[in-house]
Amino acid sequence: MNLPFLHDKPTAALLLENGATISHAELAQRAGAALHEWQWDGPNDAKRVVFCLCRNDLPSVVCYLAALASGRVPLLLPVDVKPAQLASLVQAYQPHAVFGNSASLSLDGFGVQWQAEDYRLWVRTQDSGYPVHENLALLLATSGSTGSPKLVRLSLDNIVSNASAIASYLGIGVQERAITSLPIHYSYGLSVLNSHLLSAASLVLTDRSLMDAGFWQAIKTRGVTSLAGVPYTYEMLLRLGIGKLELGTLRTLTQAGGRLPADKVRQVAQASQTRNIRFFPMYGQTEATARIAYVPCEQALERAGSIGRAIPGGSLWLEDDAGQRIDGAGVQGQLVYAGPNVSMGYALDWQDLAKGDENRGVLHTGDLALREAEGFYTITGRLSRFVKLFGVRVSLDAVEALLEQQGLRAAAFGDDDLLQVRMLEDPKQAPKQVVHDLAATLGVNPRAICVAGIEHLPRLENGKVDYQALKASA
Amino acid sequence: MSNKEKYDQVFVDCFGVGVGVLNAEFVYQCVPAWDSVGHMGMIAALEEAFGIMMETEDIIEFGSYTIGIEKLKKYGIDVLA
Repeated sequence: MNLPFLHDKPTAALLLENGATISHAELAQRAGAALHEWQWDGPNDAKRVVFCLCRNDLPSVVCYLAALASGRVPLLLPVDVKPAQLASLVQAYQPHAVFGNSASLSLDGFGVQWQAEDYRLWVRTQDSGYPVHENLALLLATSGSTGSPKLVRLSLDNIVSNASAIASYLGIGVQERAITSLPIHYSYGLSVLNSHLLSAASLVLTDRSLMDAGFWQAIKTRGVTSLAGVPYTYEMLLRLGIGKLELGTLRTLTQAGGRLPADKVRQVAQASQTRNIRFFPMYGQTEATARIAYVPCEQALERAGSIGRAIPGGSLWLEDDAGQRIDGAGVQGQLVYAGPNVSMGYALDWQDLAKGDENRGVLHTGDLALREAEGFYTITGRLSRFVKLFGVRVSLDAVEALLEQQGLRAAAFGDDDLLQVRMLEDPKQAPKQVVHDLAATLGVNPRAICVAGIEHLPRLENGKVDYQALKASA
Repeated sequence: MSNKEKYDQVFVDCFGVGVGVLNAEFVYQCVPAWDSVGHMGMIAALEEAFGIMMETEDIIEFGSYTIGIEKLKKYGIDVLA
């Protein structure tokens, strides 16, 4: 198997919850064995899509690597993906196989082909296949579970080049050891896995959160050197007190997955400096595999609030409404990124998987930004309507559509980590219940959602909802 | 309101559960709302309700409804009194 994430080294690759350590050589062996045992080949040699319902554990990582190494196209999903969401994705993408550990999963037209411990591999009993582009290697969801089957199409070159750029600016050598503080089905979490495997470094595999004593136990006792977090992770770290935590060998912190306010960046940067820890604020999108920009750790404090400069091999610029490049300083424009990690494009169903590279290396991020000295950028706003709830992108229009399906007339707006909904008062549905239902559907904590009744929705002259007015009155 | 009522009310409000489920088996991540985000919210609500400021290790080790009762003793709060 020829995949740059697999090595024949005897050094540690994955440290498991049960205390075991898997070497790189053993990981490669396991991926090879899985391919042999699973017999998930289709009727011909065509590329096949495989759904991988992941945890941060060994079987999930083996499934991902085995699929990638054999030219199958994995779609990584959370293990607790909602049944309705899974069904709609199965319908849209007609996968050849589904890997997961949910015994209760019922998949029409699939049979259990392989089984070990809690894990199963379901394979389609009848599969005529469909054309998949030769460069397509991986599918990732762009957003939280709003029911949209929209996926990002990534090539092996996308994944490897991004992992390599990350490994280079973070200086990931064989001695580095990350802890999986984010799920691997999430592009940022996956980039941590990929960049460490590429560098023949190691990872502690865990699903534990920062609020779990076992997580800190692992940091202390298993030689963890780095921790990745979304803005909320840093809210938690600040509350816990970075100065008071026992951090053992930890020496690198990275932050992405949304905007951490500048004052918080300063607090984290200062506390990190005191403890001799490197802190890298970063920026990225799943549409660019994961990483687009980073702030070098030595500038984290002075450049607080900036997303930094393009990663090695990439470039950033701004464009105006007409698509013209903005060269002057102090002018806001859409942030555009070019680099080898820009995805091939989106997919809405299996037919789109035959498509080639539609982006041609250039990504319009949908974020508005200002250019600063030294090629640094600061995000000033967003063209598209979405919020990030604890790192998960949630489309506001999709939220409105979800509510409409339940017969609710409502407007969604908000900021990162707080989704606001104003609904026309409805005697049948209390705001509290709507919060509860929405949290369950989106898979976020109810604290991220604020729902209130409103007599009528303010509208602009053109009849569209006046979100500015709603925001101002919130 | 007694300390017990105040303590229970924080769980009811933060996690949307009834008082009936609040016992030794009500542990971190036993309901979707008690994830890391909910945990931070609960700690903040307890701090406000009892006028205390909890320390790092107590926040991390606050793994269940029952453990929390023990943790609060350190701050002079006897929930069961």
